[in-house]
Amino acid sequence: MTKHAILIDLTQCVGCHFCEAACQANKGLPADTQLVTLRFNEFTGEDDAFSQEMGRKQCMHCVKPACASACTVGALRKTADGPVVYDAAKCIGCRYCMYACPFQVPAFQWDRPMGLINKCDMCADRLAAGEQPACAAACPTGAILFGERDALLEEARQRIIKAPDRYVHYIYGEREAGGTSVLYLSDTPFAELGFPEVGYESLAHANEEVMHATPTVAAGMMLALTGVYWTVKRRNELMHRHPIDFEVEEAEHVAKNR
Amino acid sequence: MLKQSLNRRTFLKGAGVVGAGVAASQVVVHSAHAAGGVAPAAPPDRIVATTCEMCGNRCGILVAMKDGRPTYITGNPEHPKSKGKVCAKGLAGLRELTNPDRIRQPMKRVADGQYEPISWEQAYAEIGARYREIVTQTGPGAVFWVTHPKPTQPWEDRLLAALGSPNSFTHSSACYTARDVGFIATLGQLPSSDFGASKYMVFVGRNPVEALVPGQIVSIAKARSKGAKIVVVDPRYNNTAMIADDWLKIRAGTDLALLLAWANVLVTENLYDAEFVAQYGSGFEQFAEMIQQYTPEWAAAITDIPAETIERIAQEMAAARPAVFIDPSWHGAFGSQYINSTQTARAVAILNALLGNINRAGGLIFPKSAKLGNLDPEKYPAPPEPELPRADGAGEKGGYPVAIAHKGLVQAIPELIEQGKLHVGFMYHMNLARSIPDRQRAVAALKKLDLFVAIDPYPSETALLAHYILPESLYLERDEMVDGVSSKEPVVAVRQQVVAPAFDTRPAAQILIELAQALGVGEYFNFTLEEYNNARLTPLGITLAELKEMGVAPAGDKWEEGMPAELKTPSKKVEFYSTKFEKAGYDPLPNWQPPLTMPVADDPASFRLIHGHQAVHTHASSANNVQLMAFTRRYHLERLWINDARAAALGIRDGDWVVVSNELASGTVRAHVTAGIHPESVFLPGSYGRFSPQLAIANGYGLAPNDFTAYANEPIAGHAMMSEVIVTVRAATPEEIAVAEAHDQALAATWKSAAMLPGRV
Repeated sequence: MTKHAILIDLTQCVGCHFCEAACQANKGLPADTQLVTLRFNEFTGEDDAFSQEMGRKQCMHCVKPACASACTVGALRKTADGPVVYDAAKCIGCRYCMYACPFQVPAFQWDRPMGLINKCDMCADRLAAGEQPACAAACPTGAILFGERDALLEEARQRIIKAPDRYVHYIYGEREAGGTSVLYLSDTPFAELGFPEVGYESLAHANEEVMHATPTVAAGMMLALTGVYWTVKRRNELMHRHPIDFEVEEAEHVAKNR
Repeated sequence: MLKQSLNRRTFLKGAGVVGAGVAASQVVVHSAHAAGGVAPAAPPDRIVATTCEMCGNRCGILVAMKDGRPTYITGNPEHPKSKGKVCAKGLAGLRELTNPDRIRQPMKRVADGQYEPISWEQAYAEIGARYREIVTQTGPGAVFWVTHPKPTQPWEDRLLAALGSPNSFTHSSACYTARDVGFIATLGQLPSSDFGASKYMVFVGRNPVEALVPGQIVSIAKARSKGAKIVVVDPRYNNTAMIADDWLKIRAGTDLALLLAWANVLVTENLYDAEFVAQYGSGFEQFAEMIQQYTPEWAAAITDIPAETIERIAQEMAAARPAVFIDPSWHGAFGSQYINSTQTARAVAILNALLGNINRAGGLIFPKSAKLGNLDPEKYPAPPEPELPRADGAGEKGGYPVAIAHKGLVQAIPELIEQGKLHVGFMYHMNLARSIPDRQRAVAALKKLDLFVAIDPYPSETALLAHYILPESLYLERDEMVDGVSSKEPVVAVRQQVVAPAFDTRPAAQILIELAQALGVGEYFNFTLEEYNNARLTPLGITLAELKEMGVAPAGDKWEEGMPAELKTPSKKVEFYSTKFEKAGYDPLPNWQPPLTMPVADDPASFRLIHGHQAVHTHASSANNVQLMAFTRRYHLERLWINDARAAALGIRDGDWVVVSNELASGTVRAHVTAGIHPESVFLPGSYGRFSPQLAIANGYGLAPNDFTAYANEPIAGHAMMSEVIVTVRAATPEEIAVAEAHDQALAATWKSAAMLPGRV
C-alpha cells in the first residue's frame, strides 16, 4: 500500500512556482485552484541575519489515510500504487474529509454553487501511464523526487548522514500520522515552516471503527460526526502526549542510522 | 537525432529529467499494470515541437495535442535554454489562446482611445498612402522601428533598411546596454557563465531564479549539488539567495565599489592569475596602480558590506579559479541602472579576467553561435545600408560613439518626437510607453506622431496610441523564422504553428511582407518564409521538415576551452585600460563614481526605488494572464518591499497600504515589511502597473517602477539609468485606504470571474 512516494528536499527549493504551474496546467485546473502551494517563511536573526525558507503544502498521501476512512461514499481511497485518489463523481460534498485530515489538506470549493473537494492525487493517472507526477517532472533543481517510498526514505537518511550540518535530522512524513507517501527534508525545524505537528498514529482507525458499522450512507453521515469528534479528540490527546522534540528525534535518527 | 521522430517516449524523457544527486534506480517510474485501479492518462495524439514566447528566451517546448487541441506544455530536453524544463509562464502559455482581450481584427484609431475594425487590405492601403505622404516631406530619417528582438528581427532590420532609415530601437538601453558596452570594451564580446561546471558563482544583482532561463537553473542546481558555492550580491534577498552561501546586502548603486575592493584584494594579496594577465592583458599596470586606493575598508563604508566579508569572498573566488565567475548578468545591478553602470560592467569583466577564467570551463565562456546560411543575394538582393545618421546619436561621433548603434537609445524616442526628428513609428512586440521612463511624457509624445503602426496581439497601452493596430497571431498559432541559439553546443530551433490563428489575425512573417509591399519596398521581400528558412538551414544539411519534427537540431561546432588568439578589442587583448574609452573621452579605468542620486539622508521617508523580475511574470507583459495573476494574488507578489526598521519608524506594518511618490508619480500599494532588504532601498517588481483600459485583469493592478523614473541618458552607453530613482513612502490615510480597497475588490472580482473557468478548453 505504500509503494510510490515523493521526497521534497526543501533545501533545494527556490520558490520558482514551476511545480504549482505544472500541476495546474497538467490537470487543466481553474486559475483559482491549486493542489500544491508554497509557503515563504522569513527568519530574522541577530546581527542582521536574514533568511527565507520554504514550506509547502499538498496532500501527504498517508499510508493509512484518515480522509478515506471518514469518507462515507468511498470518494477517497488509498490505491495500491500509493496515491490517495479522489472521485468527484462519488463525492457528496459533506466535507468530513476536511475535518478528518490532520494536515488540513482537502479544500472545499466554498465559492462554487455545487462545491466539491480539491486535493492532490499524486497524478495517479500519469503514474498509471508510467510517468512521474507533474510537479516532480517540472522541478528544475531536483528538489522534488519521485520514487518508491522505501528507497526515498533511504535517500533522505543518506542525505542527512552525508551533510549533517545541512539538514535538521528529521524526515517529515516518515512517521507523521502513521507515515505518509510525501516526505520532506529541510534545514529548518518543520514546525517553523508551517508543517503541522500531527503525532505519529494514523487517525484512520478511529474513523474506521465507526465507518465499518455504517449500514447506509445516511446513517454513516450521522455516525461519522462521532468519528470526527473522536478524531479531533484523539489528535489533541496525541499532540499533547507526544510533542515532537526535534532534539530527541535527531538523536534517535542518528543512532538508528549508525 | 533527427532520424527519430518525436514520439511519446521522447516526450516522457523531456518531462522526466531526474533530480541531481539520486541514483536512477530510486526514481524508476512504475509500470502501468499496478496502478491501483486508476485509468492511465490518455496519451497525446501527437506532440508538436516549437518555441515558447512567454518571454524573450524562446525556449524549446513540446506541446501535447489531443483531439486537435493543445493540452499541456513541457520543455524540449534538446534545447539548451529549456533543458527539458518549462517555467510557470511557459506552462501558462495555453491561457493566452483563450484570453478574451485579444485584438480580433485590424483596428483604425478614429478618436483618442477609440477604434473601429477595418480589413487588412484597407489598413495596408491607408498606411502606405499616409506613409508616402509624410516621408515625401520628412525623408526616411524621420522613421523609426522599435522591437523586442526575436527571430523576426532580420526581417524587421531589412524592412527598415529598405525604407532608408537607420533608426532601429530595441528595449536594450532600458535593459542591458551598459553591460554590453562595458564587456565589449574589455573583452571584445559578451561571454556567458558556464554554470554547470562552476565551483563558485557570484551573482551581482543577477537573480537567475526569478529573472530566469530554466536551463540555467538546472545547471546551477547541478553545480551546487556537486559542492559549488553561490554568492548573491543584492540589496534585496531575492529567491536565488535561498540557495546561496552568502547574501551580501549591498547599498544599492555601490556595486562598483565592491568589485574594485575585490580586485584590490586579488592584486595586493597576489591572488590573481598573473600568468593569464601577463599573456592576455593590456594596461594591467595602470589598473593595478589605480586599484591600490580601493581597499576593503574603503569599500565597506560605501557598500555597507563588512571589510572582512569582502576580503573573504575575494580569497574564496581566487581559491576556486578558474572555475569561478562573476555573472555578466542582464539588467541586474549594471544593465542600465546607474550612472556608474558602464564602468561597473567594465569592473565585472576585469575581475573575471583577474581570475583567469576567460573561456575556461566553469568560468566565463564565449558561446558558439549557430552556423546558419542566408538568402542568395543574387536572387534576393538586400537593401543598401542606410547612410543617414541616427536620430539619437547612438554610435555616432559627437553623440554616443561607444553605444550599441543598431539598438539605440529607446528612452530617447519621446524627446526625439518632441524635437521633430521622428514622425513615423512602427512598433512590434514591444510596449514602449510601459517600458521606458516617464510614461506621461512618452504617451504625450507618441500621440504626436504623424503615423504610428503597432503590430500587437493585445490592446497594450502603446498599441492604443497607434493610428493602426495590426493584430498578430499568438506564438502557438504561427510559423516563424528559424532561430540560431548560441551555446556550448549551438542549435537551431524553429517555431511552428500548433493551432490555427484565432480571429482575423496574421503571423508576423506575413505582416512584414505585406507591410513592405504597402510601403513600396516589396522588392526586398520577394521570398516566402519557407524559402528563407530553407536558405538558413542549407549549411546544416537538414530540411525544414526535419527540423520541425524535433524542434531543435545541432548547428555548428561545439565549444572548446582556451583563449582565442585574438580578442575583438583594439589591442586584441583583455583591456584593463580601455583605449576605446580613452579615445571617446571617457575614463579608461573603472574608477569609483557614486550613483547620480541618493535618498535624502535625514528624511525617514526617503528611499531609492529598485526593481526586478519575478519568476511568474515577464516584465509587465504577462499581467493579463489569469493563471499567472493567480500566483501574484496568492503570494502578494505586487507588494512594495520595505525594510522592517524603516517601516516601523514610519508606522507601516506588513500588509498596510502605503503611498509611494515622487515628482513624477504617486501610487498606492500594500507593503511587504521585511528585514530582507537594505534599509535605504524599497523594491517594486516590474511586473505590474498596466494602464490599458482594455486589459481587464491587469489594468490598474499594482505599481510600475518606471512610473517613478525620470528620463535621462547615461553619457557612455546612453542607457536609461532605471534605478536613479528616489521616492518617498508613507502610510496611506484612511481615505486613501478606502479608495485602494474598493479598487482592489473590484479588480479581484474581475479576476475571480475569469479564474473560476476551467483551465482547459
